[in-house]
This record gives sequence, C-alpha cells and structure tokens, in this order.
Amino acid sequence: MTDQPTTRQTLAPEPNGKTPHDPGPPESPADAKANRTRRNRRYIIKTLSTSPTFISGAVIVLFWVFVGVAWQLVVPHDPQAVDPFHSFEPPSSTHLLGTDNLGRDVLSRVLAGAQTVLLIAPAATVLAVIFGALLGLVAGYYGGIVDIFVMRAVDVLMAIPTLIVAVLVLGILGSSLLNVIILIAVFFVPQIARTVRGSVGDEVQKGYVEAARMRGERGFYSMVIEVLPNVTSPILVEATIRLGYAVFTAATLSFLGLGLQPPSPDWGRTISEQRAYIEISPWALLAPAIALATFIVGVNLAADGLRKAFK
Amino acid sequence: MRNYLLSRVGQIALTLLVVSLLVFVLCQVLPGNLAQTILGPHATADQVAILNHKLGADQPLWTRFFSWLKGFVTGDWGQSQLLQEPVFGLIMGRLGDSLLLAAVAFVTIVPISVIAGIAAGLKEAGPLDRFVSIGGVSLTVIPEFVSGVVLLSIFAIGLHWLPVTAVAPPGSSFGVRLEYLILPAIPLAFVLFGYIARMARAGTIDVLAQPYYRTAILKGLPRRRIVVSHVTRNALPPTVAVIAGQVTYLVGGLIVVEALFNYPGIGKLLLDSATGHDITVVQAATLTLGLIIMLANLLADVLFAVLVPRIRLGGSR
Repeated sequence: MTDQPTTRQTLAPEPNGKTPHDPGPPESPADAKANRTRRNRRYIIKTLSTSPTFISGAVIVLFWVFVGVAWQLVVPHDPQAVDPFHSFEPPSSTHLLGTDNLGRDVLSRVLAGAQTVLLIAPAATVLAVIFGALLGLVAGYYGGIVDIFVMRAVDVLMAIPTLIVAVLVLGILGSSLLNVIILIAVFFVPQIARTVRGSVGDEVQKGYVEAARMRGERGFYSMVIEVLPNVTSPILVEATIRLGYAVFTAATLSFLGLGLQPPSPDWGRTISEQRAYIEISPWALLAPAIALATFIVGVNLAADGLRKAFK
Repeated sequence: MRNYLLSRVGQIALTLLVVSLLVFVLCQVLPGNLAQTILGPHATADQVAILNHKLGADQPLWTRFFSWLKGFVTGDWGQSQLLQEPVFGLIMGRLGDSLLLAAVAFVTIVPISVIAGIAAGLKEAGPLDRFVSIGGVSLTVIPEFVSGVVLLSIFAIGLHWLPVTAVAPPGSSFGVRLEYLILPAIPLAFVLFGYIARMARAGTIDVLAQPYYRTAILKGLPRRRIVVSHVTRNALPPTVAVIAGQVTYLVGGLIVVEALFNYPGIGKLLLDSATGHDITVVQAATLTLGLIIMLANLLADVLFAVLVPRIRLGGSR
C-alpha cells in the first residue's frame, strides 16, 4: 500500500489529454513480449509504407516479378519466333523496340527474359541464407573453438575472388541452372554467416539464453526457438542486400556465357549474343541492359528502405 | 605490426594453396585426357600411353600437383594447347594489356571520385552530397556490361566520339591506343566511383568533427587553405588504402569488360581458356591473378597501417 502514490502518479493524464486505460492485471512476460513484437512490427510497416525509397524499389521489383510470372500474357509476339526478312528493324509500331539479328521481337524477348534472373537470384539467396544463418548461429551460440574454426573458414572463403572461381567452375564443369544457383549460394554463405554470427553474439550475452540453458533446454532447441527469432531482422536485411548482389552475379555469369544457353532470352545472355551487331541494332542490347539496370536498382532501393526501417 | 604482417602472409599462402588445389582438382575431373587431346583422335593407345607417361599424367594426383606447383614457382608454366604458345609469355603479355586498361580506369576515376567525395562531405546532406551518394550507389550496383552497352550506344554509335572497339589498329601510337581504352575503362571506373567517393566523404566528415578543424576556422584561416591542408590531408590516407583494396573487384571487372569489348587481356584469356578447356593456361592464369590479388590486399593493409596510424592491427603494439 505504500507505493499507492507513485502508482497514482503514473496514472495521471497523459500529455495528449486522454485518460489512460486501466492497466488491469499486470502483463505476463509472454504478453509483454508479444505486445512489443506487435508494436515493433507496426512501426516497421509504418516506416516502410512512408519511405519513398522502399516504395519505388518495391514497385519496380513487383513489376518485374509480375512480368516474370505472366510474360506469356503480356508479350506482343512470340519471343522465339524467327523472321529473317525483318531482322535488324528499328523500333516501329509493330515492333515497339525493334527486332534483333534473327528478326525476333526485342520487347517480347526482354519481357520473357525476366524469369531466369527472377528464378536464380532468389533461389541462390534463400539457399545461402539457410546455410549462412545456420553456420552463424552455431558459431555465435557455442563460441569457443567452434566459433574460431567457422570464422577462420569464413575468412579464407571471403578472400577468394568469386568471379574467377565462377569462371573456372562453370567454364570447366559446364553450366546448368542448378550449378549457377549453388555457386552463387556458396559465394554468399560466408558474408551471411558473419552477419548472423555478429547478431547472435550480442543475443547470447542477454539473460534469456542463459535462462534457457539453466532450464535445461537443449542447444539446438534453444538456438532455433530462443535466439533465431531475435536475429530475424538482421537476417532479413542481409538477405535483401545479398539479393541485389545475386542479381548482379547471375546476370554477369549469363553475360559471360556461363549461365543459360541460347536461345534463352535471358538478359545477360542476350546482350553477349547481340554484341556483334551493336552498330546495326543497338536497341537489341539497350533494351535488356536497361531492363536489368531498373531491376537491380529496384532491388537495391527496396533493400535500402528495409535496412533503414529495421534500424 | 611484424606479427600482423607474418600472419597475413601465412593467410595469403594458405588461400593461394587452396585456390591452386581447387583449380588443379577441377582440371582433373575434365573428360578426356591430356595426351589424347594433344595427339588427336587418330592416335593409337600406345602413343597416348607413352605421351601420358612423358607428361607425367600417369602419376598419382599429389605427385602431379606438387610437380606442377614446382613448375609454377620456377617459371616453367608449360605450353598452351589451344594457342600453341608458351604459357608464361602469353600470360605476361596479356597481363600487360590488362594493366594498361586498369591504369586508364584508375587514372580517370580516382581524382574525380576523391574530389566528389570531399565536396559531398564538406556539405553533408546538401544537394551535392545526395547526388554523389545516390549516383555512387546506383553506379556501383549496375553490372559493368550494362553500363558498357549504354555508354557504347551513346558515345560510340550515337555521337561517334569514341571508337566501338577497344583495340587500336596495329602500329598506332600510344595516344591512339589510350583513346581506344577510354570507353572500356569507364564501366570499371563507375563501379569504383561509389566506393572511393564514399570513403573520401566519410573521411571528410570525420575531419570536420575534429577539434583541430574548429581551431583552424577560429584561427581565421581561409576556407580554401583549411580544405587543402587539413581536410584533404586527413581524409586522403584511408581513401588510398581502400583504393588498393579494390584490386579484387578490378580483376572480376576486367573479365567482364574484356569480354564485352573483345579486349585481349588476362580476363578474356582466363574466360576463353576455361571454356576451351586449355588446362595449362587456366591453371597458370588463375594462380597469377590470385597472387596479384593477395599481394594487392597485403599492400592495402600495409598502406592502411602506415597511413592511418591510429588504427592498430592484429593487437600488435
């Protein structure tokens, strides 16, 4: 009863003049946690929905995702239809972006070409996030010798120049969709592991991990159930940044002829295929180049918006 | 410092060993064997076996790996099967061409991005700062071949200011050769611009927060002198160190730009020999590039330690 005045004091009208709700019975820790998450989530959604960076990025990305999924519905011509009598045509009303060396419609090929990058980049990123997060969790949670071993391996892997290795592996072993996805994922695992390791290291310092250990929770269980939910924000931010790099890498590999083989209308592939004719029909290269540039910038804008909202 | 250097050299040696082993093992899983490739499809089994023995291809993997490594160290790099040339001379020649291209890229972009970064940092959050930051980020995330295509279309095809190819006709003067390299150098420079400008900007902002900067203003020094003698002098060292660390990126960028412009540098050589299964060239080119990258990174670390003395490395005091 002695603390009655202080309680009344906190119940004084808030600056906005509204009388506060009756606090009722004290919140259980679980409720408090759920409330905090909900409030946090509402804050993030509000920040994102008012961030011009995030919105413009998301609109661009969604546009290409729609095109990648539904290109059959939006292409004006068959992207593979060869028409030797109408090759190298400049943009016109029938062919809005002109035709290429084989008389194929450039606009249709650009729209149909979105799907490969949209498949490779997210698949590689998801794969890398799963393995990278697992490594980072294990290293950060157990610490000690495990941590040193994993992080040293990460250092060595990060020092390896990725594009050289990609040229070697894909050039020598030959390329396939799966090879490209796995390779990009392998390149990204170290960076993600390092980020996650850093966040997990901070979390492990907090009391709840110790409490879970005392309660007798098993290492793996407490890692996934207790620690993982608290490091999802950094993982999500890192994943979107990696996604931008994955698009960059996937496009570059296919430009180097290490991705999909012709007649795939993939953007990078098309640019290297049409390179010889740049003086005759620059539109056949410019169109996929600009499409790729918008997509990459879109992903990076969205990633940037997300990073700021989670700060 | 010495301990740090030693551990870095050890790390470099380890990384190079891993890379060379990776290349070597990769080349072993290739279909077909070396002697068969050299002799052609009409060779008898005896001939193939004799040549295999002569080449040492019948030895176990480890023996071959170490004899190859020994050959690399002593400068005996073998013969290219695709180009019928000694590999050592081939790689050194191509490396020279690549270095020329990289040098043009560096010489164009370093002054521009350092000045842009410092100017942006002096007026933090001003319009120029926003422009440099947004421009830098956008240029950095766009692949070289994309910006290369756009630049080619505008400056070579639209305006006819610069040649469409990267290789000057034989017998051209050095100046003409450089002119042909401007367009290929810009995509490389674009990607570097973002990093270097960001570093120079951060360094400048850092200096502006220092007490000696305020002292200089209160002393009544003219603004231009402050910028030159205080800001630039202190913002530059970290930037220089970062520039040296960009060589890893540059090698990857060279592969892409040389492919786009059909320029006979080491990046194109690596790409062609990997897809053409020219094993001796692939192995030697990879190790050469790996060595260059590692040494450049070491140089960057040393520069950083020397130029930015307040950062102590590796706990050595």
